[in-house]
Amino acid sequence: MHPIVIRVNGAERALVVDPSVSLLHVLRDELRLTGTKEGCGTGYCGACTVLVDGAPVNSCLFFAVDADRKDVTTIEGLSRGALHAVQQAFVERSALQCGFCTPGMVLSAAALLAERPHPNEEDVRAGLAGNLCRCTGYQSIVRAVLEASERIAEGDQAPLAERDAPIRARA
Amino acid sequence: MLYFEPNFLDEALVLLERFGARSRVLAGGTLLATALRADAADVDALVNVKRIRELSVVQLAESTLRVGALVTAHDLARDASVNAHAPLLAKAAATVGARQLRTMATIGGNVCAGHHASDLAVSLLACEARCTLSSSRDGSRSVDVGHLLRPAGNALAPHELLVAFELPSSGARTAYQKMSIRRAFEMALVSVAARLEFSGALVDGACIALGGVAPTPIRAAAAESVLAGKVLGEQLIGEAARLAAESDARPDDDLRASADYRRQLVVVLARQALADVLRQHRQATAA
Amino acid sequence: MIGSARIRPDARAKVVGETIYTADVALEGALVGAVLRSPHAFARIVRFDASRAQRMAGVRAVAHAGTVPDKPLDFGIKDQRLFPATLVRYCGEPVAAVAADSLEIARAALDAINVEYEPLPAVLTAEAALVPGAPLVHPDWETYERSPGRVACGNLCGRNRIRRGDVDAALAGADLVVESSYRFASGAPGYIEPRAALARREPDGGLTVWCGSQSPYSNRDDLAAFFDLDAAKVRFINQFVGGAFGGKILMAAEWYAAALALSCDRPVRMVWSRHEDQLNVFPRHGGSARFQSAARSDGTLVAMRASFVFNTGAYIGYGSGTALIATMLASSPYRIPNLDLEASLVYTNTQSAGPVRAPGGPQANFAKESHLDEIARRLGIDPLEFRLKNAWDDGDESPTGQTLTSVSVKETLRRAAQAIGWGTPPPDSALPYGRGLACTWWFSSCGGSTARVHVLEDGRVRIASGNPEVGTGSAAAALPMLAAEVLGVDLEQVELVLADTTTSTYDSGVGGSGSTFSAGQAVEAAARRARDVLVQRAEDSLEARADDIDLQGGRAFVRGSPERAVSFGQLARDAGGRIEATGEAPEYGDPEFDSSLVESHDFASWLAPSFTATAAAVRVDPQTGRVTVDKIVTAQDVGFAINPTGVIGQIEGGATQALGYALSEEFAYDGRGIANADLKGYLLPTAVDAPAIEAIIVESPSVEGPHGMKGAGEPPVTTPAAAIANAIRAAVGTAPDAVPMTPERVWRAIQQRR
Repeated sequence: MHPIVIRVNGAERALVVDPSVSLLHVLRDELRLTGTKEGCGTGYCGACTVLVDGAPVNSCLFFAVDADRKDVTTIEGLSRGALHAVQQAFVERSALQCGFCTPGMVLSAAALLAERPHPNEEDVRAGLAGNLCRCTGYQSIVRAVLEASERIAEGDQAPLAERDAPIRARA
Repeated sequence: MLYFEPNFLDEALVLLERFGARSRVLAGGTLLATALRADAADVDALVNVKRIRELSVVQLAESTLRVGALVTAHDLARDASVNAHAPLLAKAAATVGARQLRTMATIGGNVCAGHHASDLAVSLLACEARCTLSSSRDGSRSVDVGHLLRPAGNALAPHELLVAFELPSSGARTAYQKMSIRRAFEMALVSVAARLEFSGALVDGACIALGGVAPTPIRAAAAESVLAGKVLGEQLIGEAARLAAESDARPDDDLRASADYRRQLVVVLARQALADVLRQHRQATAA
Repeated sequence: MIGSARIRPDARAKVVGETIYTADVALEGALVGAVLRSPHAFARIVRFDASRAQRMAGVRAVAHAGTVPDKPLDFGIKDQRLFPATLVRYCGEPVAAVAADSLEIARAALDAINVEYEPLPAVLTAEAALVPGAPLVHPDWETYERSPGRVACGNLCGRNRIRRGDVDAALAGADLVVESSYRFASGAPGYIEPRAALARREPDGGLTVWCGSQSPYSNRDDLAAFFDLDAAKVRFINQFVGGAFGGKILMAAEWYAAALALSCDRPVRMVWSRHEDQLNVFPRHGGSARFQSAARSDGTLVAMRASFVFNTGAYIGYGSGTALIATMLASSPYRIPNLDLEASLVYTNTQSAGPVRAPGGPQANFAKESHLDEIARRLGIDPLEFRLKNAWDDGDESPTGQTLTSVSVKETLRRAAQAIGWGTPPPDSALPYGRGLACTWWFSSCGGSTARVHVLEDGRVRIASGNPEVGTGSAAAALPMLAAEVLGVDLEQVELVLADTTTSTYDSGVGGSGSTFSAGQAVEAAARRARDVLVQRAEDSLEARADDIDLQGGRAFVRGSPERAVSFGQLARDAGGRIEATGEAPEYGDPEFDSSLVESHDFASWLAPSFTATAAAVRVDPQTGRVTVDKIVTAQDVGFAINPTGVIGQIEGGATQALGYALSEEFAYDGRGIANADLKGYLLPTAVDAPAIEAIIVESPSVEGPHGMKGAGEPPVTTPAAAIANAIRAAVGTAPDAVPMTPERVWRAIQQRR
């Protein structure tokens, strides 16, 4: 068993974990943050996507010990008061149906826009290739992400990096 | 299972020496996560090497680009030195899996997994890369990357750690082409990595590597030799592509594709890669 | 309200990760449930000994054939037990289940169950199963009780037929006869949420089950009957479902969680991995079809003979519908006077095939529409003109003699064709470019449904419906919209209580394009009664007559004098706390048809039929066989779109699902069972694969449906694969005769043509 400190959605959480355990397991089962979903457990669907230091990873494959002293953003931590532009656009553009892929999809999209603020459609589709959706057919998702990018560019919302400034409080 | 986070290479090597085949190196973790679910009973020590700084370094020294084994696919694709001195590797790295996998997958872990169509392994082969393997009992040794890619599993001994790849920097023109059943996020059925040096209009040297058409990634020696010393043009490209498919490739039938179809893909992808190289060469010489 | 584009009420919770799915449910003290599965496709169970597992520390329950009632599951053939006692029939079939204190102990317990198998020669394809002398998947098939009229013989477990006129005579005298054969791989529903269930035995002798089912009420009834429980004491609390597509109608994890929970005194939590889910999946039927049709040289179709063989897997389950629907689709929606249409179901040693979204639809349409394009090409007739020439009009008859009304197929064809640019010069393209068409009809369903509407003290409106929300929005969006429309309130004033069999109301479940059709009518009926009560009570408050009272904005007011008003909340308080009303969906009889035209067919006439046409534009690389789908246009007649956003969502989602069916999805078998039971090898379309999609809503109202609607959930997945096949044919002169049309299959088809 190994002690780690993960900054989850800005709050530091100290845990003792089995070294082989996944970040997904820690988030869902230890921290009861059930917004992150397990769709396949092998890194091939993206439903478990979270951001580690702003970069998207498959939390089902990511070792919890590797999150030690890192910033982890789950879907629960994306909006601070107001919805993130991607979330708002998803709601308005009906970019979701069953919602199971949505947390991972939203985080991937938010990270994509933080990295590439003015993507074209091809960039968005390529950037979301690791997030499978079976319900929507992707078109509404792509439109929502493009719209969110315009809103962010217009200054409607600070990009992810700024918004994710960690809160240095102990859990 | 014991867990270690060594800060220095020699600490890691001592652990590998101690635990040998009952140790596992935790690099990116993309493959280890699922592997451990199956064989946890066979593992005594998990050695997380990500604190060892030198394993993540990308450095150019005297026209050799050294790429640490822990550099991720995402970083390879974006790194300025890799793009400048080993563009083939950067191009291939950008196509690995999907964004999430590229964040985590390391060049060392990916190559050691030994998949015959690994984008990184195929491109390293075409880059004539060497790798540095280290162990506490033998120090460091340098081997050709091809030596690492063996059908029965890689040539890495249980007590050895892959530390870095060394690629010769060159002004070669490069191209990477791959094909799979769906358009993204799938191991290639067949891939072709091409790296050609030119002397004026003549091909000075050609390195072509093929993925998915043999138990490991392979060099397309017959195609390479037909290109050497000649002027690159459409007809020669076609001849080289055919040779790559007919003489160099040794594909099998499997559930994903037949051998015939893989050979066809070699022809098409090799042609496309070489045509891409020719275009780059013409643009560069015209400028 | 209805007919307008609205934001889904459940959207916000979903984008912030608050929505609860089954695996998110926390239950104090829950045990971990796990399933032991057969490693063989077909084997005799020689010895079964669970005693070591039973005695293991931390193991609280073990379930197997010896511990559960020895009753058959009945889906028209009593061919299945909850756990097999003597024969395992597919690789992955559950043979036992355990509940333990932890995952590690559960796994150790599974290892400790000693099962000795004698492997038997297996049949993995319908073809192999029909070879004379082939191993029988059900050696005792003759002893099985079957519903009346079911055809069965050896591995054949169902066959239906539609016949009219004289096909042989018509073929003999025809200007042109074309024969073609097709094959379909089996595939997965592909929902992203793997199956899961929690179960807890209750002190009153009942059971509570948490799950994500399409049909919690039927599940409850089946579970109660099987375990001899009082159905009133069996409670299904349905969560939001992470996609279902017909794969979550029959119970899976629910059965085993329940069996375990009933034999111990702690709750049991069973969450499946993707791998397990794929091993226990109800796939879309694979199989084959042969078509033989006759036409006049002017393009008039005069006869069709079609024969389907479907691989229905190890048990009949919910697989019967596929064969019934296939014959109803094979010649439709076209006027063909001489027909001989037949479809068979065959047992094999693979997963039990099920009613995946539009069962039989993609298969039958891929075959039929490819076949028709062949005919059109041979006659030199434009495929659009050919279809328009033969397609139904109002007053025409279905293959089984049902008189058709509100027939809109020509409109859907024309609009889809126009949107794809049919007949216009192709765009500049380095690769061969082609456009293809396909069209179909489909049915609406109206199973039983009851709804309750409450008007609460704070003025909010609460609806209880048993219809689950599986993603389409037919529960989460359409039901509140319908209630809001009737009561004149904003959508934000309406809340929906999800399917919970004790607090909500009976519903037959999601499926058959019938959720809004049935649950919607129940909600409307309840809302109308609630409106009547509100108006009646307002008569007293406002001292006015009912005829002069309107409802708007959560108030009842006198028309023309808006200051004379009373709030819903006040009316509810005056009524003693709340106003309650219930409503039911109406029952529909089957439309009339000519029963002399069918054999062994109990789905021979269709309620409120809809029409759908898809046009696809593709580019094909002949060297690699790579097909790039530039655009899919689907024009779908939904009668009336109560929730247009939902309809568009169904069309767009269905197009991409169909693209996967068309180009990349198939279960691969390695001589034992599924070799790609994971998402690395089973290729669902990614965002890069998905095409541009244009959804055209056509509204040709039905007589029967609420507001004239027709069921909308399934048709979108039935036509795009066929349209893509025809577009490929237009581009390169040929198309594969098998789906998925992988690049290799396309390349081979082109090679063969040369």
